[in-house]
Amino acid sequence: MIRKNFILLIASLAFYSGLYAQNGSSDFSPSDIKITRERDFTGTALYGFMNGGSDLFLEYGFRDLKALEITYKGVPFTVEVYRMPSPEDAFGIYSQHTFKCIPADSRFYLDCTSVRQFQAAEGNLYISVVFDPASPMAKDFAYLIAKHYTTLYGSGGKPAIPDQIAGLMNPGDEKSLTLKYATGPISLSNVNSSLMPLLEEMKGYKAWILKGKGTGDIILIRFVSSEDFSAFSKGLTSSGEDKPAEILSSGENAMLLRMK
Amino acid sequence: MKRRDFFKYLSLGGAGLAFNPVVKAAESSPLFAVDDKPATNIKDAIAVPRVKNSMPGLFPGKVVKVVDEKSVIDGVPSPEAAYNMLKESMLRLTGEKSLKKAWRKFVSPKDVVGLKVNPVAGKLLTTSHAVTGAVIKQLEEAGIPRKNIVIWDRREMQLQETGYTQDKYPGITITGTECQDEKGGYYNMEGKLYAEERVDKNQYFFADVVGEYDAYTIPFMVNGGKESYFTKIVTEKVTKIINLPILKNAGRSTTLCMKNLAFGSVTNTGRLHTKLWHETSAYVCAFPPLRDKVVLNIVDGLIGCYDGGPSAVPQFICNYNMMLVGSDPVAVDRIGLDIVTKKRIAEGIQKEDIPSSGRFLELAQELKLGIGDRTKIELIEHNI
Repeated sequence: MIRKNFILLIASLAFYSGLYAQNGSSDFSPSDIKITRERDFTGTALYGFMNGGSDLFLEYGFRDLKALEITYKGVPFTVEVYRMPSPEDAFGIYSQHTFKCIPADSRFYLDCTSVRQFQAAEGNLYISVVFDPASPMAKDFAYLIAKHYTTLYGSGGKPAIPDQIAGLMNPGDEKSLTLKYATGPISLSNVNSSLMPLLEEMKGYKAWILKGKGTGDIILIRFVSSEDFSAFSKGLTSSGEDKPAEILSSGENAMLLRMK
Repeated sequence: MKRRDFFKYLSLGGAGLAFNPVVKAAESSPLFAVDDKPATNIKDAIAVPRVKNSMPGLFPGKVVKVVDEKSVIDGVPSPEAAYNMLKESMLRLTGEKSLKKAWRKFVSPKDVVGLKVNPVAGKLLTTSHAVTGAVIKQLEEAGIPRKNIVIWDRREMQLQETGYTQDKYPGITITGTECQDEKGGYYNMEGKLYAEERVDKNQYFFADVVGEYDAYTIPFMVNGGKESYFTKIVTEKVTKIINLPILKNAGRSTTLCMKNLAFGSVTNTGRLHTKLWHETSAYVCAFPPLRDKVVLNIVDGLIGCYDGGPSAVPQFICNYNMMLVGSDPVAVDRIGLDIVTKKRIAEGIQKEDIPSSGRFLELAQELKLGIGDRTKIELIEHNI
């Protein structure tokens, strides 16, 4: 009986460790993380961390940041964990920082690897792990570290991508390379500035942007009030030859546009 | 009284102390008849008579661009390359054959020379020690004693984080406006921010936008209200300023000479980014502590970035392998903006030049701080 239970236990451990290994975390040991510096910034105190760069984060409703200098198995990393109000906002700020990811969306639902940085949007968190590319294990470790901190601080959940946008994406399209989300003038103008003259003085709009491949971007923009929606519609239709976008569909204070 | 209320109270009290407004104001300037922008006290600044050293300094509209493709080795700026790039820049800017004479056109051994570096993006994208070290070495060779050199920025903490320490720069003063004590605290025994002692409440940039900050934020803003006070570093401590920004973007614009000076020299900046970014970048530089003391601008473009700025986002960091030098911060910024914009277009970040990105240059030119019109700038290029 005892022997049978023991074998069962060993089998179970082997099974779970196998699962763990599939996630790429088999060798990860949190106790190997040594924190050399830890700072926390809440709300507008982000100015103390990045000064003018804060405005973009604040536009998405930034809540707080845990900024860490760590070593993992002796390899140094800079880790920044940004907590945002929602998975959409976390994706939004993440989408402002992704560019030429190789690979993209390979380990998390949303992730981006570049020469010296691993980024991910997971639940309400945006996480950045910066490493020294000269260190051979650093890139693999970066993923494990990101996984550790998202598990530690994250809320879970995925951004709700509107059907109008999701329906236009091809199977296999990597969201981290093709999709952006903006919640105000700073974030939207960073992605596509053509609509900005029509949005002056408006607040609270949200925009999903599907980056065009050889064609114009597709933008789904949703307004907080029918007044803003009407003003925007009127401005767009009266733009004449300078009209920055073609209306694909509209309704319920939202409009789907193909940018020129 | 809660700490938050205490600081609200303090910031309101501060409004009573005034920069001495001099009477003559250029009321006819289009600057004062424009749009719905919040009112500012720019009139006070331009009413103060200009002096010999006032911007744009000795060489209006002249910019030297030196490129050395080997200036970054294994991701690290080379001190030797930086020294040579700076030397070539100084000789070409001044037309001198002697490096010492070139430097002495701008500074003398009697000056207290402030080097305004930019550490805000952290270790990844700070003004490099290669460039700062080259400036210090050439200043010393020109007879400026180390004790008369000050490395400064708005945040002393960030200077330390990026390696601007006494150990690395012995004999040189390293200081900032916002600072912490040894335990990491921002407040003295009386509950006042240490930084309050370091700002000059007689000299300020007023803008009709209220800064309101919570207890978490106030240590990084020093005060709320409608005034942004100048740091005593520029009003009292230094007699000349050499500006050492980094070649990097700020959204679709750039954060080079003027932005580095303006936002690095005053408090209560959180309220200024959104509505008054361009105005602040230009107007604050028009106040005497900057306008009359900044003699040279040396843009560290060995490593820079083309997006993600003013923060450091590794994907967008690149080796420009260049240095831009001029006494005219507006002309240098014009050239720098063109370079960053060209890179952004090449990388697919933006499709075309967006003229409004350089609005601060137009404002600065209007204020006679330099030349922002590209067609009127003399650009001297040199490849090593």
